[in-house]
Amino acid sequence: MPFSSTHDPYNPGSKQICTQGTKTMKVIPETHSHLSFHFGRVLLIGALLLYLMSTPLAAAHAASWVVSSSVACPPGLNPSGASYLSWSGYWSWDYGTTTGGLWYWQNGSWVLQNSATTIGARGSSGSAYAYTGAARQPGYWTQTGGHTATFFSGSQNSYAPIISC
Amino acid sequence: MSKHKRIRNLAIVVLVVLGTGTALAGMARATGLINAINPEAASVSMPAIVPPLLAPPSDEGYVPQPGTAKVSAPDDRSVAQLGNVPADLAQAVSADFPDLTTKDALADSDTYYEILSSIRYEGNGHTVLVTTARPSPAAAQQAAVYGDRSIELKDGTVAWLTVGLPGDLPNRIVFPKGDLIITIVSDLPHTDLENLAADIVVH
Repeated sequence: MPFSSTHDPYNPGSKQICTQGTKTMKVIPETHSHLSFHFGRVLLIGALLLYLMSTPLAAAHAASWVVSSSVACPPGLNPSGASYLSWSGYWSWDYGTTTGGLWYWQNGSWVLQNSATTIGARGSSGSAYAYTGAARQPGYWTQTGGHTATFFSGSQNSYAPIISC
Repeated sequence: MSKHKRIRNLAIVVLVVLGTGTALAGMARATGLINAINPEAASVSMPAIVPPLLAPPSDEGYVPQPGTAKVSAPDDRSVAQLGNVPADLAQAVSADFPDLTTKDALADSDTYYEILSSIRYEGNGHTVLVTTARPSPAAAQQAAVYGDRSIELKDGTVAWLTVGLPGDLPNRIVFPKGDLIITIVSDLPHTDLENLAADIVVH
């Protein structure tokens, strides 16, 4: 027989009435059982809150973010790179971080020439730009970015094309 | 068992499952030699960035190879390659072994990645590149994220997938092997790439 009860777990003063055959009996609620029930509810709600907090908010409202990296080597100027993360539609306490790295191809190796990290200001919309630069050398260059944020889990990378300088 | 106890037990199970999942997702993929972090585990404190792990897109260094034969380097460097080259990717196989003779100019404290070899497979309008890279001691120590998503290859190897890269080869899988970082990139769908990645051997 499935459990049935008129006991109101939200009302500590209520009493449980169990029906068994034709006999009706009143019982005083068990304090231990009652506490366990509330403890379970708190745990369950806590677990759900934990899960919701770790879920991206993009589904909840119109929000978006984008990451990108670029590199340039204009004639006569030093090579430079930029990596950025921009976002909109999140909460006022959200923010993101960008690390950008400028790489030079030197005899079979990608050598990091310069890197920069920028922590974007908190806000429902915002950005985090990281700019890099290095002395001009002929050869191949590229820029890569690493991005983290409070509104997506983990890390996202961005890559500029490999260009010849 | 009372309803209250069942609910309490259910809540504990939910907590344990969530906690275990979080812990697994956050597990760093430490090989002992390369400090790689699963992208899902990266916190807002920034991990180190990594270069493309590919040689520049130049045909200069590529030397044609016999279709399905094992590719060997002219010196003793490691060469990652497909163990069994599918016939439709064996129409043109070529290898590039970048010149590393001047690497002594770099210090261990410099952050750099040597590209030891790059094997290119072409056929049926598709291209697959398999490269072998070795980070400098400084680069290997820095916590780095090598892709946007963790995946597990057929052989159980944990690897990192990135899709949508700029250029002609938008899909990439990276995984560590000892002190090496193996990369496979292609214009093939990433599901095909995962199968090929599981077949990579290092000679």
